[in-house]
Amino acid sequence: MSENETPAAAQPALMGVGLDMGTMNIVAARRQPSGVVTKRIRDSFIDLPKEHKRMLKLSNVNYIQKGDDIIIVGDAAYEMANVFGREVRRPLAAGLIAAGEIDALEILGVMVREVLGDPATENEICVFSVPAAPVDDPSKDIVYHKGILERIVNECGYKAIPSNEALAIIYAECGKDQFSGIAFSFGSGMTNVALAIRTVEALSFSVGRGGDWIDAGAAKSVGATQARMCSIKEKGLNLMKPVGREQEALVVYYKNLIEYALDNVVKEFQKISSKFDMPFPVPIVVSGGTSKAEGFLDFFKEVFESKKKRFPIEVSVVRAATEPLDAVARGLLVQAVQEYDD
Amino acid sequence: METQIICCEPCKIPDLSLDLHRGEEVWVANELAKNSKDLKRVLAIGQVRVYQRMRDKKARRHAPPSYQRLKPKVRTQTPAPEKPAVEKVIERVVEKIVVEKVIEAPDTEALAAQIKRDLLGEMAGTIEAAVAAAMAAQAPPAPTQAAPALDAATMAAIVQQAVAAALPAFTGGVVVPAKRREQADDEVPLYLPTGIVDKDVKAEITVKSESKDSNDLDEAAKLLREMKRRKKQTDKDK
Repeated sequence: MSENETPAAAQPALMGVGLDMGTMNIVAARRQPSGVVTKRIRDSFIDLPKEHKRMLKLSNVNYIQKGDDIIIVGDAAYEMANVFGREVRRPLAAGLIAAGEIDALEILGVMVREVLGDPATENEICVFSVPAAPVDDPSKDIVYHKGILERIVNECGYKAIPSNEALAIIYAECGKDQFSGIAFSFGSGMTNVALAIRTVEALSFSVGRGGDWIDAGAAKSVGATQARMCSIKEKGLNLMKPVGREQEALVVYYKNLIEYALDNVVKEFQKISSKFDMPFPVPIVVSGGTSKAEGFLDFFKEVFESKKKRFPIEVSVVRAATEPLDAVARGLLVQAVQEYDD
Repeated sequence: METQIICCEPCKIPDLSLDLHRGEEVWVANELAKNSKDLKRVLAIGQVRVYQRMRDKKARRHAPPSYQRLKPKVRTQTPAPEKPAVEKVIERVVEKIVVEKVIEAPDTEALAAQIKRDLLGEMAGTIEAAVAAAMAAQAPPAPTQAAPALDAATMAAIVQQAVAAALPAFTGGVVVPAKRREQADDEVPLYLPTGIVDKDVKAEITVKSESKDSNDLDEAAKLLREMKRRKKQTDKDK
């Protein structure tokens, strides 16, 4: 495995791209002779006055020039937000594009264009991720989100195909299980869940709780800011051995998030259980940025054990995705490659 | 499909030559709406709502008003004169046939052609019965008085008028029911801006790139291909 910085417009060698549109990261995956290449940009931005342009060029940060404004994008937006004492802006909130955020759409368009690069041929297939409809907030508009992303990808010169986010994890991680399993994508804005049996999606839904919800809840409990809780998480939090009140508060919310997701699986499965039989036990795969906390898998198993009696699906194993940040993009790439093989 | 613009706040859309009042509803061609910068502007600030949908009489009739009328509307048109009872009966019969045989039928185009061919023959009995019923209803109560005869020429004129009124619906000029019904069910009010990805925007962006072994992915794609092939084969055998 190698990590390096490359120009965004590198030409691909093989056809098909997978694009994971997350609240925290945009990740594109494509095949090259050397292996699978993933490109990632943090899905955030902040606008600064034009006079800072010279300083930005010197510091080599990613920016977009829009009229008289300079918009810093990616990881640097967080750093600059701290420097200037401002809040970072995000094109996606709680997993979805907010209608009316016209500025954010343009920034999102540029970020997607840079992550995807030029298509290898006109209308090269790009399978992009779409969350499932949230079961706990029917007001959230998946249709608008999907339509906008489809348009952005098409305008980048690709043929856009939407696909369920959690299902992509099953395509990436459950090949040996005949593409059967339950995938949990613990993202920043929401948590997506999918159950598939031999590639066929049997159940998919999302809940409007994720990493941001943990930060907000824990911050409220201990009287800290959401940014501080996020920073504690990212510096390294062991869920099995929390230290101090702040970490303990985070653990409480992690536990609640997992319980909430599992409870909703039970609830949603009950709606469809009469329609089919589970032919064999299936694995549970946990993925997503929020699942990167140290000890997450053991913590999940512990919570799952307490819920196992009521869990309606026979589970063979609980495991983590091999690459939690890239699993969705890789699964989407499998689907894109498949489109060409068909 | 057309674009329906519903005004939430009084506003002007100069490039569509529109000056809208709260609650006003206008329809414009999709292409015009798509290219209207002023429409995008007022949409972004929530002064209007925009829907792409089929325009149909039914929807217009049932659309709930998005505002409360402050003054009662003054009727300026004089009401149409009352139609004769026989004509009303014939119209009702024709309308019933149109609704049952055409609007609610699954394959309307084929059926319309067939009904057009058989129209007069098929309707003759019903119309005759309806006319007879209407005449009976108009008959004077006293048995001693002679009933006023409805002469054949008047009768033919009424029937011709009713059939002529119904014919455009059969020829497809007015009613396109199956498709419209389907679209109305799937209709999603949605406005998506165009030109989101501006190729002229200057950007200095370097994205993080990682390269990993693709064996797992190749294997997954191979397995998926194999499973899909088997599934196709099984479906074919069935």
